[in-house]
Amino acid sequence: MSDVLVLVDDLTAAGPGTPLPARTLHLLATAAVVGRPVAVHVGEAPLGPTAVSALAAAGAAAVISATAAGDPWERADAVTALLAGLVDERDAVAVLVGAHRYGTDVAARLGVALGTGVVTDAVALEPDRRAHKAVPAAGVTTTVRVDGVLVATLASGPATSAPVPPGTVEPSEAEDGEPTAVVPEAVVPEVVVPQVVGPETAAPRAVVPQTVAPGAAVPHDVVELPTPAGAPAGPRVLERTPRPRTGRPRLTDADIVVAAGRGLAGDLTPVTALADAVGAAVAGSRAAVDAGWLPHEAQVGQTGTTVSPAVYVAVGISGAVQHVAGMSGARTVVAVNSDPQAPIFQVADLGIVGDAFVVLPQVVAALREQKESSR
Amino acid sequence: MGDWEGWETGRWAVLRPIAEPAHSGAVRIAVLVKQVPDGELRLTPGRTVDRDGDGVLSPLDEFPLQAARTLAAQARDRGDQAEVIAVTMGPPDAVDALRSALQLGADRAVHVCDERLAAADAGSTAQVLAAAVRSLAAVDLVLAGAASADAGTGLVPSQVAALLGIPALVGATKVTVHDDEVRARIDDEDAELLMAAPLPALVTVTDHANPAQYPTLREVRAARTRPVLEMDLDDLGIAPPPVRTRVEQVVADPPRPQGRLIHDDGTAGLVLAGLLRTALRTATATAMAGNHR
Repeated sequence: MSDVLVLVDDLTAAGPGTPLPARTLHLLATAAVVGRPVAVHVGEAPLGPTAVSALAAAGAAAVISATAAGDPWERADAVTALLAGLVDERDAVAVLVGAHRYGTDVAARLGVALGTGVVTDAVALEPDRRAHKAVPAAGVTTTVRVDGVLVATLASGPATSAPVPPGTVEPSEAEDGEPTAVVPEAVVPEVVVPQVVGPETAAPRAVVPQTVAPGAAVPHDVVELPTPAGAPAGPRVLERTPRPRTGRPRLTDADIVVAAGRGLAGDLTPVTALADAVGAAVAGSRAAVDAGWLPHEAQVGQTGTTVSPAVYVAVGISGAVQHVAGMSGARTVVAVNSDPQAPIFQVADLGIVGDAFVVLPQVVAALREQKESSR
Repeated sequence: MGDWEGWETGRWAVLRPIAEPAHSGAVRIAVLVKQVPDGELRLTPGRTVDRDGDGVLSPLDEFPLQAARTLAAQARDRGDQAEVIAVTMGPPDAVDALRSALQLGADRAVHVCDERLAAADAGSTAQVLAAAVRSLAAVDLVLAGAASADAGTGLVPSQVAALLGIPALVGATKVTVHDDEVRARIDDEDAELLMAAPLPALVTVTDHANPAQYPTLREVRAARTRPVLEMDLDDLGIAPPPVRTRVEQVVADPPRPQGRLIHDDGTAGLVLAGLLRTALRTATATAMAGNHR
């Protein structure tokens, strides 16, 4: 079986003991459909044994751990060169990255470096260099075939289930409505520790062999990262201001997303209270973000983030086509809006015509009551 | 073929950087723009975006145009020269998008129009736009929208930068030029960044940047006399770039089953609570199954 390279999130940044991000699980499960997933990790330090085992349990057949100093945005070129080198070396058939901005930038560059086609916002892969891509604005899903190595960015999806592309699922599975999770057998990982040699890291660091499961053979290897040929001075990050952690899951990782729109008139209390009651992420429409009620990265839609949670609750959102394009992959859509004519109701599985300031607190109270009574 | 050698091997050579900024102060800015269908997105029988019918300048391209206009105005205020050039690739009527760009402050425009590009994908578009920018010579800064409003792959700007061998800053909400470097404020997933890159460089500008100032009647009139240079692949001196993605199949998404619509009579919250409870149980069950595999 051929290798599929998967560029995973930086797991060292999140700190020890943090579970794998949902989108990392989703990437590995999707890659496993067409080949042997090889997790490629780039971070300040090599992965520890726990993270390697977690990746293996999530389906990675091998883990490649590259260390690099500096900000991820300063090394997109180097990461591209690393991936291009690994494609050649391992004769990989595909490279899969997240469909966030960084992943899209790396995928675009990799397309140039490999002279191949890139599919963005794929929802699934198929053998023989094919990917399924949803085009919500046209109400269709396309099958795209690429000449050369398939490079794809994967749209976010529920970690707990692989998306169901046309033609890859038996009817019996599709009918019973169960998530069609692709869970490959856990395998003992091989750990390779190459180094990203940045412009300022002349001397390679010592490579620390990783320990994994007892008795496992752990080959490790040092791969010289090719410095991109003739690369001019690249971008520098002058300031990085991390956003305060809200304690809520990341938008693309959340099983449930509660989104606020213009209808809330600036008071997001019912939305945040509901989100916190169910461990959901908080999102917003363009109107809510432009009004300054939420930060830019919370925007769902064509020019914001595309999400595919299990449940999307749109509160006070009218449902402009640009917004719907960013959330139509949700398994269940709930809309709460006081306007019965709001277009959002056309895409909602459950529509509630009512006042969010009445309905949402009732939901929170009902969930709390049930929690207490079950103790 | 000169700089384009390497195609045959399937590896696109990284081109040498575009000309070094020859003059301090003066700034030449190329803005990559695109005509998109006005209204609903349709696909042709050939499974490409249907570009017949009325097209408009992609609304998202107004943001890089405004950023270019601001930078040019700042340079002129300093007494330096500045020039903004809108560049597009598209069918003959894509010239309308360039006319809009001229009204929004571009000084001149370049239209790459060649029927051999009818089936272009992101990769081939990037090659053509990179060649067009190179043909302008001495461009200091390339600006583009963060995505187009139709196919919206978001690939083209990064690929143009890679082909030109210049650094790219993607997703800027604010762009400034300081001496020989460009700086951009970027809202990333978990952080706000201030990034810098030496010129020449490419920056994509999001719709959270300053919106375009609408043109005055005088600007609209002035735009009519500004030149649009039409070029084909022969003018650019390149062969049709290979198209490496093919849409094989288009399947209409199944219509969503008719949803349930309820008017809140005081109990709607309980219905939603029930739905969320079920979703939470499913998520927990799956997560636990995952832990045991």
